[in-house]
Formats: sequence, structure tokens, C-alpha cells
Amino acid sequence: MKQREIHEQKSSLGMLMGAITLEAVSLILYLLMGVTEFTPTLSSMVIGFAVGTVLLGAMVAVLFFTGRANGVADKTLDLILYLVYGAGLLSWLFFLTSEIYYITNILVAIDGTKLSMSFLAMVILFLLAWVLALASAIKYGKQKEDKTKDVRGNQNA
Amino acid sequence: MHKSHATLWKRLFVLFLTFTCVLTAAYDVTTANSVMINKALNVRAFKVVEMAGAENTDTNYFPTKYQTAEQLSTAAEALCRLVEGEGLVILTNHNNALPLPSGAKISFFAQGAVSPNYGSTGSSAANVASYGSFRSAFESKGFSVNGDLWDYYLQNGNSRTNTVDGLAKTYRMNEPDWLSVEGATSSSYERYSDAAIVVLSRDSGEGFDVSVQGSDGKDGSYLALTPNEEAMLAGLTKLKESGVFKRIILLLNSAVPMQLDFLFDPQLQVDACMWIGNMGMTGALGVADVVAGDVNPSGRLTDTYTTRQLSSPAMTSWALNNKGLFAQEYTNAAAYDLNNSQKYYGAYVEGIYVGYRYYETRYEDVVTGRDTSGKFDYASVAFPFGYGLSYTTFDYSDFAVQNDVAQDCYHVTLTVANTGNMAGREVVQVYLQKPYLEGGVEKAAVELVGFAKTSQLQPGDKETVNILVRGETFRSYDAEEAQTYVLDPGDYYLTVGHNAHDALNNIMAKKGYTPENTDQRMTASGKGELASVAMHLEERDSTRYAISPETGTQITNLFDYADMNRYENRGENSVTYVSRSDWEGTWPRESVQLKIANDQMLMGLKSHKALPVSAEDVSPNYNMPSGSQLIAMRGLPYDHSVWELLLDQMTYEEQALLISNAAFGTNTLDTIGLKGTKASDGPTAVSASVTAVSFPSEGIWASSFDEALIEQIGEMLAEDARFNGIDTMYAPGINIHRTPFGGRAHEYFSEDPYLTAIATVAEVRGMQSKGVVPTLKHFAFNDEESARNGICIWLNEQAAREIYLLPFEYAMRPSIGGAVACMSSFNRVGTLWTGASSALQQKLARGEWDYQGYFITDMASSNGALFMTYDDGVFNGTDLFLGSGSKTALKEWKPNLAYRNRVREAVHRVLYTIVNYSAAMNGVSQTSQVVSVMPWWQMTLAIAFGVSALLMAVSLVLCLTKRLKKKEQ
Repeated sequence: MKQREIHEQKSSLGMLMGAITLEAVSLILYLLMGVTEFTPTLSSMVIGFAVGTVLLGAMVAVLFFTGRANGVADKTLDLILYLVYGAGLLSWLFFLTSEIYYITNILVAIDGTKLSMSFLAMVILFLLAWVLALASAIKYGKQKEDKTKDVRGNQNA
Repeated sequence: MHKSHATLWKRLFVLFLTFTCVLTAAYDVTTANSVMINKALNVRAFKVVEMAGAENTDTNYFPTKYQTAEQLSTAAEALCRLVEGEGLVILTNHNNALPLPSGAKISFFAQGAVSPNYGSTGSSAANVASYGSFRSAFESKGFSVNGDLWDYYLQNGNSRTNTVDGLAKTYRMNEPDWLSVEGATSSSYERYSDAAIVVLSRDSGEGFDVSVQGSDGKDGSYLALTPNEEAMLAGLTKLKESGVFKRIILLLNSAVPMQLDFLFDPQLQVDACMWIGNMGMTGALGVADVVAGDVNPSGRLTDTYTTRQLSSPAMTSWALNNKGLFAQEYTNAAAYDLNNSQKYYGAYVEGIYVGYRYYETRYEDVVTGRDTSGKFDYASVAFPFGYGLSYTTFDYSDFAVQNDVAQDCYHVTLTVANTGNMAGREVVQVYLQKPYLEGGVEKAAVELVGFAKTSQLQPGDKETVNILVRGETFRSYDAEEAQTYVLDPGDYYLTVGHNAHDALNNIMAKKGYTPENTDQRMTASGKGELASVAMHLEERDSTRYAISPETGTQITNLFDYADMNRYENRGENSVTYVSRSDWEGTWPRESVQLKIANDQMLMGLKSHKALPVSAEDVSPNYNMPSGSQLIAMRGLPYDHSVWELLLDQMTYEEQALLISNAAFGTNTLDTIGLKGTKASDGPTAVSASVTAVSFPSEGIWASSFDEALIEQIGEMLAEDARFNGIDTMYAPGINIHRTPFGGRAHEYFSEDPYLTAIATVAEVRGMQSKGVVPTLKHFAFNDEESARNGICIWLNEQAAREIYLLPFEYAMRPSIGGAVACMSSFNRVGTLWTGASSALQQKLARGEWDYQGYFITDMASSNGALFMTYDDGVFNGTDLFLGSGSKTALKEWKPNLAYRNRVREAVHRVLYTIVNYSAAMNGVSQTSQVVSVMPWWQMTLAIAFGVSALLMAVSLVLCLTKRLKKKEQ
């Protein structure tokens, strides 16, 4: 039964694992390359929300793997997944705001500041992380709705 | 039913979750930058409340003259036109090609005609869309303009480009091929044949220097003529020879001086050439006024124009560098993992021999036989500093010099007579020659030390001119032996001349030199009667100017750490400075190669240096209400004891917010009754002004040699600032045109420090009279642009003090300029960022010059974020950070009592400046209360955030409730 549930939730779980991995990679990249000419210190908000995304996501993944997703947490799991998405979104947004002067300089181009690969990589990875978390939440919610439909259909029959 | 409701609430939860996240980040970033946003939206974050029973007092401390945009624009347009007419410089006028006859028919050539430079890029950029063209300007003077040719250039002409590759910006003219132009437009020439006017434009701007190599100029430099431009001039010459055009007139529309070798090419017959700079809003009309003869030109060059731009020592050294860039990487930078703000350096190998100080000095040495190398040819100079033609002629007579010992000055008097046929104004220039001792302190052969402009003299009229020369202009800085200002023994000559070269010839004539007795090495006979020995010393005087006249401080070396030959951690590094004792032996032969010599030098480049801790430091008071309000300090001296009561009222956090969050303005502080201020960029225009007012390049202002006119520009810029709600300007730019290739020449006055100094003082006076705080920039040595973010400038102290710091000295000294705001630069001096240089900001400016105002950084949260740090900056004299700090920005250093006291001093200086010099305090009386208010945009964001968060929570709760109910069922 547990295996069957996990199988059903495979795509949602896969997306969640992807989101966690990307967020973790983004965080590591940020810790390693986040200090630049325009950003002398790392943003505690970026780090905080990225860590939050990873931990919250990991907690949900554990619930999936252990089958507890179908227990008490069942009613709120999709909402918790949305919180994972929210934390990921915030880490991305705070990353962008922490780089606001860098972005402005690229746009104004007075000093010829150009888009760096590390910045671009972090923007994309943080972005993909919350997009995958959102997709995971949507997918999981849809699975639950389908499952409910099936149960009702069976009851009506 | 329950299911659909639950889904609906879930979807709303996700929607509001997303909104809340976005608004959270938006609120955070906008709050940090609220001062800048308020400025951009022209909103105020405060209101002034009058207490009940308050008496009516006049709080309009700084009234303005113009009430409407129309009034302001009309006056500014007239002034800009006047400035251009007074400042442009006629370089050649063969056969009286100018002025043009009334109703002349004109053909405009080159893309610059239809796409001229009104301004430059960067901080002085203006909205030029509404500015009039050459065509409309000339037609308004009754000239007819070749429409076919104009339209051709409009459709095909503008193709100037630039590309960026690392530190290099390669500008290209891409002037259309002459044969194509001629083929398409030649049929129209004969109908507009009175004059072919060629407009050569050159772009420049902030962030990059002008291309030394890689451009389409014929020698690779952007300042040389391109092959297509040369072909155009050759083609026009043929057309002139065949009788199609009567004359060829060239307009140099550029802030950076072009190389003018082609004017001496017999194959290119340019009849008249004038430098018009970048023109500002109505400068084209000023040009037309001069071309029509309605204004007699009186501008004189503020830079030396050469036939070989790389002939100066500064440019010879620069051109030897990798990729033709001034900035070079320390040879071992890679081994030390240096970032971009640490790894670049540049050396001022020319010492004091900048611009005419090199060309004229070496010329004298050739003439007098000191330099027999045969390597110097004065033909490198196309037009000397101070040069300019008029439509009339002037004669000088009755030259006399009188020493006023009590005032420590000299009165130079002479009679100027208009000997021509047209009314006009003459610029009288006073030059000084100090005695040079072989191998001693370097001395230029001539230095500008005074000038005046006559009134409009009718033909035959005379005017007696009296020019005051400060005695301290005779001093020289000896960084090696006396380590202070000295007067060397020998003769000190004062002379007047039509330009620097003319002045030197007068001095040499006074010494007995003639072209004949120098084998024609002397280019012309001087007028010895126009030169005089103003002072003779038998022995060196090392005391007269060794004490600061402002503070009484002993003046001594402060910048050994910036001179690689005196820097204690130099290791094997050294720099050879050019010396007139051995021009050829000290001439730059190879690129200056410097390396990180040791760990001490490396540490110099690092930020966050340890702050000293002293047991004797006492903490200042905080949060002690006394009812003191800032406005009550108006008119009180900086060191009045009442200031302490006011400062005691503030918390450390309020002080931190004030000084760390000063991007384009400062915050409102209710506790002391401080209104928020707003600042704008732009030496030649108020940034994003609603009136679009802008003025020509600063070089054009200076070339008018008219202090009163420059003061008027200061007033008008301030009027425009006030109209835009601005009370502080990041202007004037007062760095030096060290070479012709500096990218920001548009924003600086001249290659000469004295002219720059006097122009600065005039502009500061004008701005301050209107309640706008002028911010001198960039302090100091920001004379190039490439790699400006943290580049290490290495130079000797004599050059630093006599050339680059002199304009700041004149502007900051209360007895001369009285400026009260100054912006530090992006670059370093030696290894230290200038804003972290105690030597510059505390020991020199405050200790020697008695500077009363504040120092603000350049973009501290942006390009400078890595090295413009709160600890290094504040502790070494920086008072404001052009950035997005907060109340907690300085908490890390709060335990350091010395730091706390410096923060308090910084706040004191900022408040002193605002209450006494800024119109921001207009409307505040001693019975007023300043109250912070949340501006509409911030209120909107806050409400949106609150509503979104609330709806998110409600949606979540309802979603869960529905689900639980469903489960129970």
C-alpha cells in the first residue's frame, strides 16, 4: 500500500526533490559566490529562506517516503508544499533585491557592467527551485482531488 | 459543495501567499532605498507643523527667482546661449572667413551636424530631445541651410558607435564614405555655397576613457581624424578650389580635445575652425551668434590642443600600457586573489608636467639650451593653453606689478586697447615663472595665476585692468627635503600674455632671448615690457608658506604613502617621474610595472582595517531630550556648545540612519526637526529635470574666463534644482584634464588647476546663494575613468598638491570658496580608498584647509560596495554614504567609543551644512515641528502587504476549516 501511494505521488515527489536539490545547490552557490563587488555581504534573508525551503521540503519528502503523507498530514500536505514554494519564492526575490544595484548597473551600463554567469546561474536555479516546488504542490493537490473524485465515484456506485 | 469551497480557499491562499511574498521583498528593498524613491517621485516624507500661537517669521531663507517652468526655461536658454557664445574658441580664421555675410547660404557636412553632442553620458546626461538643431539655430539668424544635404545626413549620417570589452570602450565615428555623400548630394552644393560647415563630434562619458587605440581614427585614436573625415575635408577642399564653396568652416563639437594636425595640412584647406565643446540646450544658437558676427568670440582654450596627442609624458606612458589603457594590473595580482577593486593601478609619471606645464617648460629648456636632446619640437602644440582669436585685436600697455606686502598679494595692472574694428572683450591672463634650480623642486616655466575679462570695448576704447595675484601662488611643494611649501631663491616673473606660450615668450624676452639669438628655437619675439620680476630671493624660504593660513597647522608631507618612491611598503617597486633636469633620461620608455611587494602592501588594499581602541575615549551622550531643534542652530558656529545639546538628543541608531542612508538625499529626523533633503546628479544639468535645462561642457564655461558668468551658471543650475525640489547637487566636477583622453572631460573644467579652482569657487558661490549645496567631486585623483572602481593612483606629493588638490583647496578653504560638501572618489590614492584616507579628508581638508563641511562617498552601495565600508570610511573622515544603509548599519562598531565619536562628528557636519546652506530648511521656524510621514507609495505598499497577508491567513483558515468539516461529515 505504502509503495503504491509513493508510486502515485512519484511525479509530485520527484518535483519536490528537484526543488530541494536546486534550492540547496543555489544556496551553496550563493554561499560560495554571493559576495561580489556590488554585494559585500551575504543576505541573511536569502540564506534564511533558502534553508527554510530545503528543511521544509525535506520534511515533506520524509512524510512522503514514510507514508505518513496519508495520515494526519494528509489534509495539510499540499498547503505545506505551498509554503515550500513560498519560502523558495522569497529566497529568489530576496536574492534579486540583494543584487538590485548590480542589476541597475547592468541596465544603466555606465561602467560596462555585464551579466555574470554566476549571477545568471543563481537566478535560474533559485527560480527553478520555486517553480518546481509550486508544480509539486499543484500536482499533489490535483492527485488528492482525483483520488477524492474516485472515492466519491465508488461510493455513488 | 464543501470540496469546491475548500479548493477555492486554497487557490486564494496560494494567490495571496504569492502576493505577500512579492510585497514582502518589494517593501524591504524600497524601504532601504526610500530616500532615492522619494526623490525620483518628488514626494516628501515629512510635514511641517506650526505650533499654536507661533509668530509669523520669514522662513524663506533662500528665495528663488523663477516661479514657473516657462520663466526658468526662458532665462536658462538665454544664459546657455550666452555661455556658448562667450566660451567657444576660434582657433583659425584665415582670410576673415568668419563672420559669415548676412543671409549666407550654408551646407552642413558630417553626421555631427544632425547628431551633435549637447552633453555627455553618465551623471551629466540630460533629456536632449527638445533641443534645437544647428539648422534651426542658423536659420533663426537669417542663414539658409541646404535641406537636401541635411536630410541626407538625417537619413544616413548618424552612425557613431561604441563597444565595451572589459575596461576598454572603443568609440568609432563611422563617418559615411565621402564619395557616397558627394554622389548623393553634390547637386545641391552650388545653391548653398557660401560656406561648407563641417561638424566633427566626438563622444565621451562616465565610466570609460576615450579610445587610445582600436578606433577608426587614422592612428587608431578616437581623437584623430578618421580616413573618411579626412577624405571629406579633402573633397571639400577640391570643391572650394573649383569654386563651388567659398569657405570651409570646422566646428569641433567635443568635450575631449581632438588632435589638430590636419589643420596644418596644406591639402586640407580649412578656413576657420572653432571649438564649441558640447553645447547644452541652446548652445547651437550661441554658435550661430558668433558665426553671424553678432557676438565677438572671446573664449580662450582651457586645454592645450596638440598635433600629436601622445606627445605628452602622461600620454606617452599611457600608450605604452597593455591594450592602451591607463589602468594596469599589478604584475602578481593573480597570486593574491585580488578582486577588480584591488588589482588595478595607474601612475602619474609626469609629475607636475600636465598639459601646457609640460609643453611650455620643455620649450623654454630647448630655447635656453638646457635641453639639447633634439627630441622636442614645439610643433607638437597646435594651439597653446589660453589661445583664442577674436574678430578684433587688442594691445597691452602700461604693464605694472605692485607688491602688497600686508595682504601678501601682487596687483598686476595694464591697459587694454581695442585696436580693431569691432567691439569685443579681451581675456587678460597673468602667468608666473618661478626659479628652477637644477635638480631641485620641479617648476613649470609658466603657471596661470590670475586672469580678468574686460568689459565690451568699442573700437579704439581702452580699459585699465587690475588683477590680484595671491602671494601663495609663488610657493612650490618640496616633498623631498623641506617636506613643506618653499620659495626657492631666484627671480619670480609675472607677465601677461594672450596665452601660455605668448606669456612665456614675454618672460624669455625679458631675460634677453630672441628668435635670432636662439637660432630660431624661440617661435616668436616676446614683449619684455610685459614681464616683470615680481620678487627676488637670495635664499630659500621654507617657512613663509609652511603654516596653514586657515588653521595654523604646520604643513608637511601627508602623501608619502601614495608616492611609490616614498611608500614604506614599496619593496622593489619604483616610479620614474619626468624631470626637467633630464627630460630624456626620465622620459617614459616602457609601461610602469608595479607589483604587490609584500603582505603590508596587500593589507593596504584590504577593507575593514582594525580600528584603534583607546581607554581614554569617552562615549557621547544619546537620547537625552532637551527640546533643541536643528533650526535653532542656524547661524551658530560649528563649534558652538549648543550643538552638543542637539546631538545628545539623538540615538546612535538615528545617527546611523542619517549617515548610512544618503543616496540622493537624507532622511527626516523628527527628534531634532530635520527635514529630509534631496540631491541630484549632474555637473552640467539637474538630472532628469522637468525643464530639461542643461549647459555646455564645463570646459566651455571655463574658456569664457568669466567668473561672473560662471557664478550665473551656478545660480541657474540651483534655480533649476530648486524647481525640481532638489536642495543638493553632486556638482561641480573639478578633477583635472590630465590628458585629452579622460572620459569625463565634459564634467571638468580644464588641464589647469588655477583656472579650475577659480571657476569652482564662482560656481559654488552661485549655487550656495540659492540654497543648493554644491558637492565638489571627485576628491581626489579621479582624472581617468577606466577601472575607476578602486584603482590605485600613484603620484608624488608635489603633483598632488600643486595640480590635483589645488581646486579642492580653493573651494574648501572658508576664506576663499567656503564649499561645504565634497564627494570622495571611487579610486584609491596609493592603496587606500580616498574615502578611507585620513590624510586627505582629516589631515589635509580639515587640518590644513579648515574645511567645515561633510564628505560623502560616491555610489557606496553599488560599484563601491566592496571597499566603501562603514568602518574604514567613517573612521577616516567620511560623513555620509551614498547608499542604502539603515538604523542598524553601524551596530557592529558601536562598542568602539572612538567610532561613536566620529559618527557624532559626521552627523554634526551634515546637520551644520543642511541648516546653514540648504533650502531644505526653508519653511521651518523655531516654533515649527517636523513630523515624519509615510509617503503615498510606501503607504500603498504597506496597506497592500497588510491586506494580502490578512487575506492569505483568512484563506488558509477557511480552507482548513472546510476540510475539517468535510472530514467530520
